[in-house]
Amino acid sequence: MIKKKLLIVFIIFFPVMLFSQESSHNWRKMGSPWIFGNSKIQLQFPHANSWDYYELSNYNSLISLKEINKPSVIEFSMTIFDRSKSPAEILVSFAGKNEYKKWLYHIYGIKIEGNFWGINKASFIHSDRKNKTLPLSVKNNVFVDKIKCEKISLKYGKTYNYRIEFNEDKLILFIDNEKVLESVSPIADNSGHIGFSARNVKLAIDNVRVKKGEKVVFEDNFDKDSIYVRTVKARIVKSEDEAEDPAAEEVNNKN
Amino acid sequence: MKKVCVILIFAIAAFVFVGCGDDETAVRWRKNTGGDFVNQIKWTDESNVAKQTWSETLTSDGERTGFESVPNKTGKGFAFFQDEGDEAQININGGSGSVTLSEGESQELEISGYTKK
Repeated sequence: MIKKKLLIVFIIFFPVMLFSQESSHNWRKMGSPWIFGNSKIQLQFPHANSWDYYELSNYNSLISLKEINKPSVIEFSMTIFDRSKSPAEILVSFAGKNEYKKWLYHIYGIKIEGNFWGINKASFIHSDRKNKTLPLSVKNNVFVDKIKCEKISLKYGKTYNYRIEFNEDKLILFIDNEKVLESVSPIADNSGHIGFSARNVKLAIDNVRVKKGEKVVFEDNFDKDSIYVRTVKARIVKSEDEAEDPAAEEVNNKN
Repeated sequence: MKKVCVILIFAIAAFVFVGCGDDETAVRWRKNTGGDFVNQIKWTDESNVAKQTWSETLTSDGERTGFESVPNKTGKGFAFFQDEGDEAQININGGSGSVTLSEGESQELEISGYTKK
């Protein structure tokens, strides 16, 4: 009888547990870990290791797990700091579409660049696969086109409020309510993943809010850890000498 | 005097040669993840800087990369999986942080337990 009750409780709660696990994560990461604290998130390391596949795989990236349907506004606050070398590059991507599973070649984005003196450039960019007949895993098969570029002047270590507006066929970037970039947008459908990426510099991000009209369709204040970290286990098996030993091989295979 | 100098030079050279010859830490990886292809593996230092890359694609379980020396015995591993098109952090011996390898030894690391989402 008790067993039956336990089974019923398990059957009821198992899908709920699964759902809550799923909904607790908003992002996946590539590269450096991110640190949660003081209700914001920040990159632990500025250095990014390139995998040389899609553009976001060449940065330390935070990519939304879900696609966002036709956003009209993306808002966030961001601090850019601890530049390790030039150029310091930040990419806020949107309209990201996977070709297959997590292969995220197709993105648009705002790229922000800086040097020793400060952050001095904002560009509207498009990136995708160069040759679509080649397999997804072919390296360096990617292009990055600058659609529009403007000079800006931001300081490292200072927090700014960013707002990206999608207005019919236009894209407008505001920083602290000042219009800094406006471009005709070739994006037919801006639905897709959003992302925050950096290389050679650290980022702190807070208050990410995506709206469709007046309705907030995605929000993260980073009050709790919302990053899914894909992991794979490994164990140290043996040394080279043992590997050559057929007996040791057999024992290991049995285990 | 000349003879002594020559002998000394040879002795020092031999000492340096023997001292530097055989203490490198080398790693190879063996795939045991099920179906997913491993495209690349990186070994980084504690500041996330890649110190070694294995670019062989491992397609079946039991397949190994070649041995490559790693300059830093304390570090972390990252792998890129072809099926998912995504990176995974390699948690070695149950931990998510850096791991210290045995210095001067060639070690094989078996990767398994791949998680998907």
